[in-house]
Amino acid sequence: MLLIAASLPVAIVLGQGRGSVYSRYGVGELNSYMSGLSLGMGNTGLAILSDATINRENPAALARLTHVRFEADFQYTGFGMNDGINSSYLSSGNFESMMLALPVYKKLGIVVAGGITPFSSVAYAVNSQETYYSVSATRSVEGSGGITDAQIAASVTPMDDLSLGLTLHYLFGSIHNKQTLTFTSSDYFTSESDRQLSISGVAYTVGAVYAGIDKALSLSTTKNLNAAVTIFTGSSLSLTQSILQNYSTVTDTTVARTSGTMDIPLSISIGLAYLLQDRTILAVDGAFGNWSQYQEFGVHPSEIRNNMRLGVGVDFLSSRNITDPFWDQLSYRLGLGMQSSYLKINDQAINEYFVTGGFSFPFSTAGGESRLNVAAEYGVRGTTSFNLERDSILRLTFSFTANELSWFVPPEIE
Amino acid sequence: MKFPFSFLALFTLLPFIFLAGCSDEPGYVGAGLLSPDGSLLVVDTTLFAASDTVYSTPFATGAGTNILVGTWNGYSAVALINFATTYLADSLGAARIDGARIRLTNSYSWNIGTGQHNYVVRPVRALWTESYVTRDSLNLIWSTLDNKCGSFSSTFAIGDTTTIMLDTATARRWMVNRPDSTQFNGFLLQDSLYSYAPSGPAVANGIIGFNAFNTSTPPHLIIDYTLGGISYEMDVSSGGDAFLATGAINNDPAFQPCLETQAGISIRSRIQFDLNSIPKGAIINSAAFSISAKDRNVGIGTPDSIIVFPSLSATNPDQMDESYYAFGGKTDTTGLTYSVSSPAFRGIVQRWTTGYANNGLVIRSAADGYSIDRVLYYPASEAATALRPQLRIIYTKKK
Repeated sequence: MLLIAASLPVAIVLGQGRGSVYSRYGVGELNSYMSGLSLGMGNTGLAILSDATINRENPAALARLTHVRFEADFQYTGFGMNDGINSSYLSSGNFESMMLALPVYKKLGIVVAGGITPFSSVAYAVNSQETYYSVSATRSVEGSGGITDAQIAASVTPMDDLSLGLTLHYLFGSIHNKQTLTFTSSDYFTSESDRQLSISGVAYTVGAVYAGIDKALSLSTTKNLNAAVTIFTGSSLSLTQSILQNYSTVTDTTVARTSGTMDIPLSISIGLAYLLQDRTILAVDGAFGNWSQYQEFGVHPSEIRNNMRLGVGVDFLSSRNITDPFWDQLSYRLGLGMQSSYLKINDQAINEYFVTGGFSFPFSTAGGESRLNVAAEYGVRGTTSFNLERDSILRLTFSFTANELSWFVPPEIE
Repeated sequence: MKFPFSFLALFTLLPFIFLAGCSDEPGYVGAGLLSPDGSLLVVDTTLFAASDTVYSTPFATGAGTNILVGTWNGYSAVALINFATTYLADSLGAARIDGARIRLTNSYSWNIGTGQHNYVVRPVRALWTESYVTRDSLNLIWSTLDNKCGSFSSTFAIGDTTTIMLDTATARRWMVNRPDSTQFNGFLLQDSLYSYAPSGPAVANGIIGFNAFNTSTPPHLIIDYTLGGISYEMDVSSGGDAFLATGAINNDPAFQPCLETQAGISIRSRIQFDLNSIPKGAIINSAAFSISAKDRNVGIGTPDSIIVFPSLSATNPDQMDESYYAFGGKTDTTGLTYSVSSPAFRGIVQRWTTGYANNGLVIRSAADGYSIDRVLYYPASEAATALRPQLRIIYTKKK
């Protein structure tokens, strides 16, 4: 906890507003963060029933948690951006999410979890040189903010192999888009316009995991294959837009306020997870978002389209025997994926391809298992053609997961 | 096996801080994919005057930098000077006045011809103060004037001094009768042929100006006197002053229709612009008002400038917020175009686009209080569009 507290200010200060201009559109960069475990596996794991991590995407996957579990995540994101003329590297660090899960009734797989996690994030800043009527000016466009997902999830296992779950999402946040036109001539007053969107509303996710579908379909004699599906209901969020502009007459800075809705669309995800020889998990996930139905104030932005995500990953499980050597207790993960993002800019679909890797290791065993999951993701998206930019994206995620709050137990002295 | 917690913390945080610190500052990458929708768009527009009117308003010309005297083709000015008596000792009542004179510094001329012109000085009985006296006060002041107490002739050159000899009886009246009495309240200077009521003959001597108390070369009242057998010289260079100018709005067919500004008489013009084409809430980046002169009759010794301010009233054009006015001048020394483009003027236009009532723009001479300069301008009805009063506005709006 001290570590988190110490890191938060660092995360907030470093690199705010530094990211890709692609986050300017829609609700920003969509975050599909599932867990510290899944990120190293190509962000797969919808169908993984684990007692070692809290799944944010599929509430049904909570059902196997047997102990109180706490997770906190930090993410460093670096964008190497190239538009064919200029290149730049912008990075930021952020506190990512925090979750707490409480097993209520293990026999029925009733687990309740809650916490906060980002739904989307906006972080960009870009300048351009322009000339207006023989006077040159610098246009600065920057955005920040995003939507945060405060969620409460619950799972239940009504049948031996079937787990169901429901997540209540309270989506809230604000998105700032600020533009400044600064003229080189002091005779011209600088234009500033700050558009602030305040967003709030409720959405739901329903999820299901069926464990051992291979056996149920008589494909195997043992239960090795899980299948999962989740449906995010979408929501019509309350939206308030405030526009602040500066005027040379100081007292005239005005606020134009408009209220309406932001329609976040339904999305569906499916996943498979296969346990191979008790030491390896193979997973594949796919997701579809009906973002062509996205609207702000009743208007669908032309840059937004349906999105799709596909990922595959593998997790080489570690030994959980605390007497084994440290290296035997390391887990290794690999994954790759692609995302047909919800952006179509200048008539060009913006797609992202990525590879991931990660590992985890225990850092305390007193009172339960606590691990640090480290994941790295490298992806590319976009193109330098068509007035677009190509982003090379590096994401490093550090996820602390602790059982029974075991960090607070002092280590034994041998 | 347990992993040291301190190592873990170090392992986690150091790369995090290090990597985040490697970031560049935001630059120009990605500018091409900024959607024009919602962008700030800069617009350059020129609006031409929709309507206009010329009016004249009484104006307090006291405490300016010049006092004016003279007549020229229907325009006239008389000057008022009252030297301060605040520090006069009562014992001066026993003094014998040996001589008295007023010394003035020439500072302005308007249409003066060659040769000498004659002026007279007359004692004023009516009360007046420089803060309130206007040309409307002239009727009362004229009716209480005494006969002349001095005179002077001048060939007039700016920077020279003019000395007016006064009779000693009038100097004594000044010493004995303090202000606020109805016996003596200073001096009125006029062209010798000028008469307010009844009006005098048409005279075209021109109008001259002298530095007022508000300058480094103020009027002086110098009195030589003897007291107790000893001769003294008293020199008073403080007091109050004003000038009262009269004249009509130009109706010379050669220039009609026209707009007009004339200092001293306070002839002003109100010009209306229709700003409906400017979106409400637009950010005004720059604003420039320009107006072209069709005739300039300006004197020597004052700046050739205009002041503009937004009128706050549809019925009383002179109603203004003193926080909002702007200066402008000719765009070059030989041209005939006056332009106002200061940040203050930008603020005036900005207020119109943010909900303040647009009752038009009033232009007046910047020398209202110290000259009688007259400029005639092309009006809104001018056939040649380029010569109409115009407002160039560069503003930003959301696309």
